[in-house]
Amino acid sequence: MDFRITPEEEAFRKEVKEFLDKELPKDWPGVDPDLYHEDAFDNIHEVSLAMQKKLAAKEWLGLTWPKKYGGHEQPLWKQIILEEEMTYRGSPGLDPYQFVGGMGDLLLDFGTEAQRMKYLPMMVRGEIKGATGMSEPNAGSDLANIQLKAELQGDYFILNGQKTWQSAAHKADLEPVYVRTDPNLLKHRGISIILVELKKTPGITMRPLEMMSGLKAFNEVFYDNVKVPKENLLGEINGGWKIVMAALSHERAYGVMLLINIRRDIDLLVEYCKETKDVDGVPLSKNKMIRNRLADVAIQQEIARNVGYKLNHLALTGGNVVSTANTVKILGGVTTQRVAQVGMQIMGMYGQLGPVGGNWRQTDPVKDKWTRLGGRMKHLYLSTVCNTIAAGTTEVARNAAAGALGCPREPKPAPKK
Amino acid sequence: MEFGFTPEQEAWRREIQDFLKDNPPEKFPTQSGEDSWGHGAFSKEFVRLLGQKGWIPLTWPKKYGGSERPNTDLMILFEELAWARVPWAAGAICWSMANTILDMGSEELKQEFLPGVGRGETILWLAMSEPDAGSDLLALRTTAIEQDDCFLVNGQKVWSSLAHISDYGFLFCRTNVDPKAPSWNAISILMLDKKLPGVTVQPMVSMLGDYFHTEVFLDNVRVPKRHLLGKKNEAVIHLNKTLEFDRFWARFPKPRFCQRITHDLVQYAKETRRDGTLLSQDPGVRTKLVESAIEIEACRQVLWSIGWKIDKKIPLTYEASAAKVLADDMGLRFFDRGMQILGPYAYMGEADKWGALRKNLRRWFLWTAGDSLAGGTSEIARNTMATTGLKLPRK
Amino acid sequence: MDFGLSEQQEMLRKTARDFFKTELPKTLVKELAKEPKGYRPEMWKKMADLGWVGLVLPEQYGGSDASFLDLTILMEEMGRACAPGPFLSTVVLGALTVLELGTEEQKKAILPKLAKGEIVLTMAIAEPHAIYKPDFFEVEAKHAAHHYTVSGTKLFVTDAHVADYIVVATKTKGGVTLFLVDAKSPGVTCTLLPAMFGERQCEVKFDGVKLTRSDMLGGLNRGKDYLERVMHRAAVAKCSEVLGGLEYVLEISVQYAKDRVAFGKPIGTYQAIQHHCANMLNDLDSCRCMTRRAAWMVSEDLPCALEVSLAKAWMGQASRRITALGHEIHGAMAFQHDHDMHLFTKQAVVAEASFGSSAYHGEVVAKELGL
Repeated sequence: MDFRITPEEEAFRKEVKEFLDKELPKDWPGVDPDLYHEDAFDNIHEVSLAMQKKLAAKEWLGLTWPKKYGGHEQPLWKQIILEEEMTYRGSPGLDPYQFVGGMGDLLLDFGTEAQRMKYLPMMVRGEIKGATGMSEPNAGSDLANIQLKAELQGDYFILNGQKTWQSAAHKADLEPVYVRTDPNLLKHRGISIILVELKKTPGITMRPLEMMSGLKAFNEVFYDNVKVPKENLLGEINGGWKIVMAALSHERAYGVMLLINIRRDIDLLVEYCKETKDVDGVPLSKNKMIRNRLADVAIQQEIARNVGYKLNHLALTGGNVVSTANTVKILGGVTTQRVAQVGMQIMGMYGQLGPVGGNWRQTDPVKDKWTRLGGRMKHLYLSTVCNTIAAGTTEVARNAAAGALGCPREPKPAPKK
Repeated sequence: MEFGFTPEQEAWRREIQDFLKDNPPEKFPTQSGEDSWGHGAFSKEFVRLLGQKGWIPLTWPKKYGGSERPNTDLMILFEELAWARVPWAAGAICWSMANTILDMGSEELKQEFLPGVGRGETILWLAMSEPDAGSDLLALRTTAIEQDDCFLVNGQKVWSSLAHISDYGFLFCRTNVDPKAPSWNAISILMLDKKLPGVTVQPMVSMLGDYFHTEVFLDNVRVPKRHLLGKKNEAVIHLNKTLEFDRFWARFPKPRFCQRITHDLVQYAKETRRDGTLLSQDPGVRTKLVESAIEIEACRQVLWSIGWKIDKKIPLTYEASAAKVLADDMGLRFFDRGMQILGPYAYMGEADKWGALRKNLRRWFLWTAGDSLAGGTSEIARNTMATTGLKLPRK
Repeated sequence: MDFGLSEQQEMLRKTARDFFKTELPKTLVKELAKEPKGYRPEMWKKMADLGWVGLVLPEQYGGSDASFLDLTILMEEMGRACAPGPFLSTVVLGALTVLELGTEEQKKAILPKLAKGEIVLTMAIAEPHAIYKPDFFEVEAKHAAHHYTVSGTKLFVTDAHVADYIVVATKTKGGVTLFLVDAKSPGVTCTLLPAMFGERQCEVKFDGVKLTRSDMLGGLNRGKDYLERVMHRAAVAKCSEVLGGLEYVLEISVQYAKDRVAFGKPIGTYQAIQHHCANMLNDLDSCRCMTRRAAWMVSEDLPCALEVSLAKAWMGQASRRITALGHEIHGAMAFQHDHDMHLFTKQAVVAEASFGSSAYHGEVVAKELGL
């Protein structure tokens, strides 16, 4: 066991930090790793596109991918450091749907040569935005319940149905859509994955949904006789479930990203408490109850972060990530929520002030005069609600983690007579 | 709506407090240690005294030696006993079973047992759980086959609290051994005389190192037929009522008991310095005491509201389970905080003023771990709350 | 001990529930949240006609002589409905203050109109650096000749933007003095703050506002003790609102658990979900007992600092747990703005900070414990 960082890792991390110092706009408050800010605010989306191009220029997109597809064949630890630094600084641009356990990995593992040659180079060049078409109104936790139909007619699949909770879809160029190609097979045996070029394909309608935080950052997506060339089938027809499993295991990244990102908020709260004085002139950071709470939450984050390091290590050494990935997902959700709670408590009455999205719209000198931290804590409180639900609920994750520990599964209900 | 007490109730409270002042815990020998539910230690002598005062059968019909007083008076009594930390566990344990006898028993059975229980002279124990029948109580295997002149009992019980110093067991047994018989038509309750041949009681050493629970082995025990409680095979129909007594009444004193310990801890904090600071000014300690006070009172209020429902004869569904979950969860957190307040000093010897508190806290901290399992685990209790109370679908 | 509602309280509750069911669907609540005023004066008038605005006022001022406890039962229903509008401000902060501290002249001038729904009141207590800390007030009423001049900024004044009168707590030489200020007075500026959702918070600036002795409520330097009573009433009123909301949260969560199917079964069959519901139920029951006891004590005018703080502190944490579990049970559904759940999440988190946070009330409990 060795917790030291090598000189090469140190050097690369330094390089990424300097890149971000140089390329990010001044005083960048930081976006969250879930893409909701980017989806909701055009100016942030512009920064994201610009950063994506700059990352491409540094040859940091597709870092670990084979050179034959335009990738750079760099070691996985570099990818991990890149993800960490970008997340801590809240920099957009490294599209998770392509580069962090996203389509790139799926294409490399399951795609045809033609698909890889077509799509991977444009990803590496930073030319497109991604999304993922999984959830439906009746296929959330029970993902195998997917109903969106894809019928093979000649050279095309015809898609009909509906997806929901699709973040990033309205800005995306390409996404894998999880469809039902055979309704007669058992639930998870009739699923396929089809790559859809969203902007170029007619018949797709998006309806934006507003989140409780006020951000319009996800969509219902309706497919009405949408024709997609059969060459866009990813993997085997009706063989999609193993791709689903692979995709879900890649979601390891989400929990880790949440934990890295929330460190920025803890640091923000510490700064705030040092600078803000109570009625008696003493900084809040000297208030023992506040110290207690911040210390508590910093400890939780640090512990959870370390479980994240363990997960990275397992990924780097080819170990079994299932149980740890679930644990990290759970920890990511509950830790971020705890920080938000502490943040709101520290803010007191000030906690309720602020514009939608938090510290992105400090535009009104009159209305926002009393807002503190740009309303970041309010936004955090409202947005972290989904962290124990999205990308797998905490309840399901706990079941999976228990299963990985060896606990017996619940018996399936007896078939009805 | 009304949250105060009447002048009569306040007078009753003072009467109890005066009695307790004259009869402090130190005055009574005990046969077993203090629990963390506020029942105190097990003392036959103290319970006999309570019986003499007529306070055990307080709510019972007069014909069985009772005073027919309302439940509220019993609740006031329980709280005062818990605060004073007197050793009334022997009586506390009997209360729920006595109520079941009143509920289910024939006139003869009531006349045979209630006077003795009411005087504090007959101590009952609850013989329910078995090695393979804990949460799944209805899987119990102890049989009681009806003969011409008795029930022939064979089987084994476990977790029989204090059977080794009690007189009669409240024995849950299978009187219908037909494998097709549904559970609501197979189980009875027998009053088991411990002195009968074939009854062997073996104390179990708890993780505290003392004896509280026992295993009871039953080998061809001949229980007189008149000791059948209620109708044969119909005990399960009354099971809810029995469990209600156990879950609710047994937990009722717990919040008040925890308030007493909070009070003692506050005193401790006001008199103890650590690293130069008074513990009462240490924010970690303050927070723990405040959080405890708030949570304990919240639990206490709910238990009073359930007692009120019982008084008003409002049918209960989930309330007994809720009482158990609230009180036992609260206890787990409270005694954990108590240990944290004491810190490493929790393990110091007994010589000084606070020695007893430290020793007791160590005891209660360990003891309370068992509370959340007793009378049904908190997990099962939550399931019951969800299905019976909120009507969520069963599996 | 009696945990039941009286017949009148039951009737009040039923009437209120039916009224809000018809008049205030959640779609309207969300629409109103976007409007600057935040509520419909027509609905306010209806509530006044039902006798609700003047509920706790004596009959001689157009009220129904009901108790504070009765008022909290009504406010539970308002919380359940997420009813917007200046009810707590007008009735608890304003009307009760005028009733208790006002001269007969002041009472006659204000209360009947208030009961009829014709005027709105509020109270300005908190200041930017001194949230509910009267010893540190900077808004001062300076005495000169025959008048007082009030200057300074009050913050988090609920509903000031629609108030006709604002009761302002000022620092005077010997303590704290309350004044009843006409909101249209020269020098009074109200600015709406971008707050959480339905509740309207304002900054109110007093710039050399001229007042006389006849504008004083309760006399010179008499304000501090009264403020403590206001805080008790307002804290309990807030708890009552949140309580009503939380009851609804449990109802819809249980219903969703019965309706929503995943993996072939209603999700309410799964133990994790059942436990969430059971935990919500326990938290709800304890909130109800603690809130109603505090309300009864305030209503009976008994010393209740401890009980109010216990209730408010408990509500702060329990409401957070209940709303979080409500979201957990609903899954992604309730993360949408379209769903109703977030109305209650927001209501609860704002209430925790209002009229004393958990930390504030925790300190009160500490002192009452003798620490």
